[in-house]
Amino acid sequence: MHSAIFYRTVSIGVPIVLIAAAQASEKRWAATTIAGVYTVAWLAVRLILRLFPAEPKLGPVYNQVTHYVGLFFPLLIIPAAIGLDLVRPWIRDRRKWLQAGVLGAVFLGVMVAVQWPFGTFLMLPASRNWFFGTGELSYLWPPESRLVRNVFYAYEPTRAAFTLGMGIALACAILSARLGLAWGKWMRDVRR
Amino acid sequence: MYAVSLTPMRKTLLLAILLLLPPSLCAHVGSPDTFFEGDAGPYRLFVTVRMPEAIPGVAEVEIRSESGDVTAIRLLPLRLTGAGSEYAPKPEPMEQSIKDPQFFSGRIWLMEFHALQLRVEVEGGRGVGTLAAPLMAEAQRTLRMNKQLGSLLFSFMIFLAVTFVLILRAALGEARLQPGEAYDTQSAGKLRWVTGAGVLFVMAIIYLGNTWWSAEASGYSLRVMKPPTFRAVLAPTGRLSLFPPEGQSSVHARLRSGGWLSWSEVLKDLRPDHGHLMHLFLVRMPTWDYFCHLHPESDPKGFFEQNLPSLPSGRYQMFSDVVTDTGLAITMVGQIDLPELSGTPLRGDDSVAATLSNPAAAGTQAVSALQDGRMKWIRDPAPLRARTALRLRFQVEDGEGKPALDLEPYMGMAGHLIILRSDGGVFAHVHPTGSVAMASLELAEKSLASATMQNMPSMAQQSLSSEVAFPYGFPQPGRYRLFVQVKHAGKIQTGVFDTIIEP
Repeated sequence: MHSAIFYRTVSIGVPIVLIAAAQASEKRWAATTIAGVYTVAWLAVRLILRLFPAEPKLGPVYNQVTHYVGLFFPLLIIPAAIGLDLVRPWIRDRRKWLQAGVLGAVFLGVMVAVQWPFGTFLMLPASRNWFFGTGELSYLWPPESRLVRNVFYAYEPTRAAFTLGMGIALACAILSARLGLAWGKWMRDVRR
Repeated sequence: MYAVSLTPMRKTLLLAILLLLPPSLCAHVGSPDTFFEGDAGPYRLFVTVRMPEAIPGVAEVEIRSESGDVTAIRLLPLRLTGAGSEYAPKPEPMEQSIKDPQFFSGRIWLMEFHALQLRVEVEGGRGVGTLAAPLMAEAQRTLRMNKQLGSLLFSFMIFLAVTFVLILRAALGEARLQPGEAYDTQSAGKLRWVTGAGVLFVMAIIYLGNTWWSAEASGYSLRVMKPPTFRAVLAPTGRLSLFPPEGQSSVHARLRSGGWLSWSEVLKDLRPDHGHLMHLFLVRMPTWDYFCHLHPESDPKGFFEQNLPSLPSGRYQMFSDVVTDTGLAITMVGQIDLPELSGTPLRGDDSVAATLSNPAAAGTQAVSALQDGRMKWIRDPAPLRARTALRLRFQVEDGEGKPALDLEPYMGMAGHLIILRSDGGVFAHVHPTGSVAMASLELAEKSLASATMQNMPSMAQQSLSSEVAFPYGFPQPGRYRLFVQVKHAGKIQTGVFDTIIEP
């Protein structure tokens, strides 16, 4: 969450879904609703699975587990979705590529503003509890893994590489937003 | 240091010529299965582990109990040392044979490479017991996909590709028309372009998928056992210097993302294996008539060094057994052309044996002369078969033909058995405990002792009989030569046997 590769990945996959849904439904908080459904469903899987006892059936076992290890805490995409829903009415009548540029920039900007400090929080002991679950380690993760060592993956070795990566992330967010607009329009155009 | 007398012509042969042999990373060449005999508490077990050809893979485990009171056996795979050796997965129960209640069979998944251990939990009339044996998990080859499965997946791919294009065409065409409405000429032309773009997109995805698949296969091939071929140089003084294999090993450094260790890094920290960091075997090719078991000493400047004993000239096949600090047992190979050497007298645990027979020509030989007495191979007259677990038993007799009662431990063991196929494609260094390296076994026992607070028996506590037995199974058919080394009458003595292994 402190590497450009993370924001590149999120920017490819998330805006297209949120914006397509919003474009197709035309509801005021469509993107926020979709993001909320994702967050609640993901969190439910995380919190419910861990209630069931389990034991590893394959070895080697690096971390002892006594119950299912659920999913990671969900990405904080709700603020970014709120940003999209707030901006959309202002630019609705503009050219599609302009809309995509604004929506992509808003999405990425809010994601960085929220997820970056949240990533820092997930590294702290305060997050090692049943809700955030960062202390719940899969039995397969060896002690050398970054997840176990609790360190960020410095994917971009230099500041220049990071800056370039974030530029690519912005381009991905804009392209994803444009595809989302097209997909949403198509869904509205479906007749049979 | 003794000087070696060399003629000028022989001096031209001072530099070693090294050639490749079949791949090896385990402490064997061409003999991947593990044979182990040991005690799980009060129960004596003979454990055979048929290693999978690829990792992750399923290992087939067969266990024979010496006693008839074993009721249940369970298997657990762990790492040999460090993380992963402390906790165990849910034990895998073995199946007891109905016809032969002392025989159990089972399967375990080996999920990771290199030095693992197999824990065997036993229940029976005398309580419970546990045994630990090291396993060297190495990929022997990249498995090919089953043809039927490949055909099925290929047909699925074609189906998905075609339906994707059809769905795309329908989504951008018919789906946008009112019921009953037909395409106009312009829309039909546009649809042709969409169809073409869809086909190109699908082809690009398939191409990228194939690239991904090939990259994965290429990455896996790096983990398949590579031949660690060491470099050897003979000095004019007759001192042999051994250098680590060059280049990248098949050992992956998990800490470094995508990093592979060089052989120098892998071999940086070695564990003594029954008192020596390296066991070097030289056997004269192609007749295997001269055999040396030497123990080079580490040299801070290079790798290992050894003063060679007196040897006749010829090309020698070298096998070098080492164990890393993580318990990974490695056999390195090489060949060297030696001039006739009048070298250094043997010292310590070093030994040389000579025999006149040629394994390629010899049949089965049941008696071998020793310096003091003789050695008999106690075996059934029935032919020996490949991939069959055996106890190879040898009786040492004194000069009067009576069982020798003066056997001493040789490097802590009742005996050492070196097995060599006539073409050099199989090499194994086996002990009475089995085909596992002793340094690796010590780590497994230490790990078990810390887990169960159980004391492991040591060789020093056991008295030696005149018979020494080795659990082993010949991996492939062929003609084999067996060098059986014991310490008898205060001297290291080597019995040499030849046998033919049937398919």
